Amino acid sequence: MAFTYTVTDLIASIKVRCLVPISQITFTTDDILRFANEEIELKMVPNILRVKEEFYVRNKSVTIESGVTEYEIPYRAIGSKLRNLFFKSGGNMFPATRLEPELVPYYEGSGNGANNTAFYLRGNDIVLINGTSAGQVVFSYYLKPNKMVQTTRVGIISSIDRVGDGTIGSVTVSNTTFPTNFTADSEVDFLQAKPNFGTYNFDVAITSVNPTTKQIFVLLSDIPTKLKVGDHIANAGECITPQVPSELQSMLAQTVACRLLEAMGDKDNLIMAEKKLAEMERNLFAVIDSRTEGTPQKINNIRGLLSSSKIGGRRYGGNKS
Amino acid sequence: MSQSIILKCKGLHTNPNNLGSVPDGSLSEAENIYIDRPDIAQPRTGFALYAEEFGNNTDRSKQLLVYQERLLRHYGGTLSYDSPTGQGPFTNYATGVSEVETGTKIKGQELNGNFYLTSSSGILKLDKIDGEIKYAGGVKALDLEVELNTGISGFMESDNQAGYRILWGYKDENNNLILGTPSERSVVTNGGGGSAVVNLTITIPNGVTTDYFYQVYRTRLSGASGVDPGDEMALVYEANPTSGNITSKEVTVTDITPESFRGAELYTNANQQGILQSNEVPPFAKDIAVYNSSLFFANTKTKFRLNLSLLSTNDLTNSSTLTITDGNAPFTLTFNNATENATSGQIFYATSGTPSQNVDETARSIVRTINRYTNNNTIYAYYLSGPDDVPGQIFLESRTLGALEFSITCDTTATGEEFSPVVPITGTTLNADNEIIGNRVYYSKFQQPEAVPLVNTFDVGSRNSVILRIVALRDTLFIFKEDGIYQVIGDANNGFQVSLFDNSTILIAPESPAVGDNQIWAFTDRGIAKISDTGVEVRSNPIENIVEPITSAGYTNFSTATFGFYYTVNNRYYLFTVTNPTDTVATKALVYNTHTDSWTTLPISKTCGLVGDDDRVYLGAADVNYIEQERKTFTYRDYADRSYLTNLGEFEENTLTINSVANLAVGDVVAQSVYITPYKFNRILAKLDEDAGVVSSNYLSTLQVDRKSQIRAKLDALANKLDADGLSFTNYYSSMSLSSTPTGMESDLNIVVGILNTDTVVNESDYPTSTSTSILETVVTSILENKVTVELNFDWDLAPITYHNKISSKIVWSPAHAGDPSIFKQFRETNLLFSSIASNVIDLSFRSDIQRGYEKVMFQSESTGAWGKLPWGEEPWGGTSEPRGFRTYIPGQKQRCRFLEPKFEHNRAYENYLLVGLSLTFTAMIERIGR
Repeated sequence: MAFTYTVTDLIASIKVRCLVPISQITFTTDDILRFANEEIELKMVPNILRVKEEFYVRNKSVTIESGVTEYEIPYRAIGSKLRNLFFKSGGNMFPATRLEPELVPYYEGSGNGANNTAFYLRGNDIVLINGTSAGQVVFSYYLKPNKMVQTTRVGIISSIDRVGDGTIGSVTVSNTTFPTNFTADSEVDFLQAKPNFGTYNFDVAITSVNPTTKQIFVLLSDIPTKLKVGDHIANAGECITPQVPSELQSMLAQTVACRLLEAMGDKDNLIMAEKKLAEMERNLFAVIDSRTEGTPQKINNIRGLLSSSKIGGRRYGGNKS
Repeated sequence: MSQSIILKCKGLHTNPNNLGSVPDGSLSEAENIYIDRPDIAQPRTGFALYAEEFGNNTDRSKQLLVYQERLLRHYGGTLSYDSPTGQGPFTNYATGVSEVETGTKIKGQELNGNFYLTSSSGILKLDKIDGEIKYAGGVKALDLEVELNTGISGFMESDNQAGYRILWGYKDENNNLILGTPSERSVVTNGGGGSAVVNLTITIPNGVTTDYFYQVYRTRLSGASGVDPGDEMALVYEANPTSGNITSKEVTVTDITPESFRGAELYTNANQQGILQSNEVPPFAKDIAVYNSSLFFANTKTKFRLNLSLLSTNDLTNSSTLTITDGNAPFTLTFNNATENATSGQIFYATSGTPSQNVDETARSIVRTINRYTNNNTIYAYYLSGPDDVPGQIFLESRTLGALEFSITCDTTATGEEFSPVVPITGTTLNADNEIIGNRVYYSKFQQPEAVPLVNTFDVGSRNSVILRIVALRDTLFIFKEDGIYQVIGDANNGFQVSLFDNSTILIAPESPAVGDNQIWAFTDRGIAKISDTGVEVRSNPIENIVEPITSAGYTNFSTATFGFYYTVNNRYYLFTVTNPTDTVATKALVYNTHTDSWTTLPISKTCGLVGDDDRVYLGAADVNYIEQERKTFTYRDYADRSYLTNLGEFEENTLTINSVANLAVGDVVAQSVYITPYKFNRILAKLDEDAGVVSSNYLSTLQVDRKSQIRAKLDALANKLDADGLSFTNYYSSMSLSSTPTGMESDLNIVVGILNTDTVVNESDYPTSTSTSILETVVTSILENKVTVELNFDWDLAPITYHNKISSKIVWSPAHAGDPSIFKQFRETNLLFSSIASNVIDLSFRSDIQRGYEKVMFQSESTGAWGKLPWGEEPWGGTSEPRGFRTYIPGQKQRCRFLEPKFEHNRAYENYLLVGLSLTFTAMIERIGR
């Protein structure tokens, strides 16, 4: 039996858990998905991040422009925060050092290109100290899971044209009715349909669509190499599979069920459901923690006094540290 | 902690305080449902058009009656009766019938096997359903002329007198003997000269046919020519008039019956019932009722009558005249001292005898002349003076109940003063009276509904307040008057006693009374009440706010549009009445179940109704010239109203293109009978392939049918193939009709099979014919112009289809506040509880005191019941409804409130349910009072 992890399955699971009547209008599908998205955002993701097993981590390189010192944190970064920041120059990655804004005057004016390895935060931007035009800023951040929407808004990819006219390729979807939300100039994400429910590529601009043939045209370069038949194409930020480890989807369903019971004022059943949820949460870490049990992570104090030799002279924190 | 309340279905309680004074489960709306079982609601059954349309488009049925298990339909001035098998066609009676007055329906009563009807021309009678409409009552005998026939020796000995009376009668179809009023007494005297016999000349009144008989009654001989023979009569002769007699309006008899052969005594003899018990015809009446085997007549009028006495003949001359007129057809009688010529209007007045003899002889001549005068078609005259009376008493009476008033004048004052009262020369001061007395009741003799003596009458209460209706229960006859209710007890043999029953209750809808459970249900000024021997009990208090407004002056047609009847089998009292002031006919029915004490409403517009002998409700449609019949097959097909036929032009999947969508609505059921199917056709092909006698074995592979649209062509190909396949017969194709109708194709298939089964080359002789039919039925889900989308895909025939109108039922519960309407609660979820249900779509809506708009939850279930859910095939569909609950959340916007008003709606034909009620789960709230 194939595993399916779409919102249809999730909603069915939620309804069963709190015995939502077959016919009701109190909770629409959108209502339940709204609850589920909130729960992913507020409960599931924090729990997943807590184990620090690099879930959702994604890098984004931005070329440093001459005279430009401010670079925005990717908008899809969870909490608008960064996992890490690097500078890339000449093929080498240099870890960046975050300074307190109060210390910035002490670092300015050195005229040393190595000062690019220091930055501070201002609002949702990083600000480079004495930036130069050389190299790239590499943001390492936690990618926000996409919001779940109804299945009619997402395309199931049935074929991929990676040749096209040499510039534009296409994907064809198998939906019975072509999703009308796919239009030229709208942006889409290419999503992994099976676990791990990753995001292959996002914010891809559609060049054109053909609802008759159910084709969506994009730049060939935007078609991810990992993309395969059965994967999903969705409007930017949308998905139909909860982007959490598949083993946590039952917990997600239980969490949402608790929300429904709470909304219904069904205190008796809510107590029971919350007990079950607590049990699930206790087991959560056994599932997602220690992703590489056979090769446990080595603790390396890269910022320690004695660490400079181990990283080949690239002293963490730059020449002022 | 969560708590629950259960709302049953208690019927309408719209009048009391709905937050405190109504029982749980009370309804504020209950449309198109019945509550026949305690606390259980079910949809009403439907009413289908019945029989054929009648009259013209504007005609409407005014009254429905039942006689001899057949339906009678009254519209315009026509009464018609149903066919023996029902469903029409109706046959009009030759005689037109009109109600007594506009707005008053014809009333009918059955007694002694006959059916009696009120009408504008008096009480009518049917003695068999397909017989003729006749006037009820016997024929009143007219004058009798007796003459001694001395040419024949006989019973009339010398020096004797004998008296005679004539009596007309007949036996009706139910073998009831209908005797009329005896004639005047005529005396013959044999002063001497030997025995003789008596010749009698009898005037034949209108209405007599050859089916009638006349009886001659005679007294004993007086013993002396100067001695009056008295009035104790006995039968001496009986015969039927011939057609010639009837034409000449006269029959002559010679009485030769010996004295010792006198037979049965006349019923009006003093030692029998007495002359006052003469069988008069029933009076004109606005209502009739049978009580203790007597027929009662209420709010009556009689024929126009006038008593006139001739005082003397002294001042009469040969130029004296009497003129009688009803305003339209005056005729004049002339006096003559020499001879009487009745047929030409000449009266003989006598002057040669004693004054008494002169008056007697002249008065009798007046009577004979009036009765026999050919120009007189309006009145009859009767001579009243008996042996103990003064001579000259004449009684004039119009011939029919519907006749016009007549008056008398004469030529001179001298002539006029010979009469009492004095006959005027001109004017209408001496006119007849028909006693229009609204508070008068007549009653018939015991088990003789057509015999109504003039003295069998009593007046009830104030004359200023007329009788509206008379309704009989087992022990009491109730008289509904404008000043109250009176009761009559007793019987015709021992006398009736009338007394005031309730002067505080007035019937305000005369057509509303109906009898059920030995009680009368009627719309009174106190509400809809139950009247029985124990008193008046108002039962409409729960819906008084609905009942009271429509009785106000603004609803001008209320009293004439309102009617009621009782459905004994289901214990329902139907009261059809108006809804709006401008309604001219009843536009809704208030239905009260007398056993479950519950009110519901039917928003249907009708003109009349009754429960037939087949225990079905029949109604007069208000919008078309049809009557309607309750569907009562005890299947799901009972749950639809009218059916219409139209043609299916084409179809693609579940979209049908039909000729007419008039009267079609979403929720209706489209149906078509299936005669021949691909399966029926293909099984013959398969059997041919296996038949060793048939050369070819590729019938199925070459001629197989997938859809019905292919059958005609494939059937033709099959017949041609059989013709060419070396069988005994080669007339397979030529024997067919080649019709493309479903029945025609089935017939052709059966023809081919019939030939096959007799073909000697073919081994098998049991090729199956197509005999059974099945029906495709599915619900209409949308209509766009003449494109109709239905729920299920079928392989339809491009042939007529029928659609059946849905019945939309609605139940709204009174506010549910869980015992305390003052505190906020959260109503979480609800369960609709059904004792059984065979429905696929139902709607449940909610509103609260916080949000007044309804929010709807639609249930779409997979019911097991009873139709349409199985794939089409050879097997009949079916299933049974089952008990179940439908659970749902209360819509979020309605959950938090002080009280909640649930509404249940069902809008599909051919579905039914038994709704027990609904439960509501709630939590009392403290701080969260809104979303």
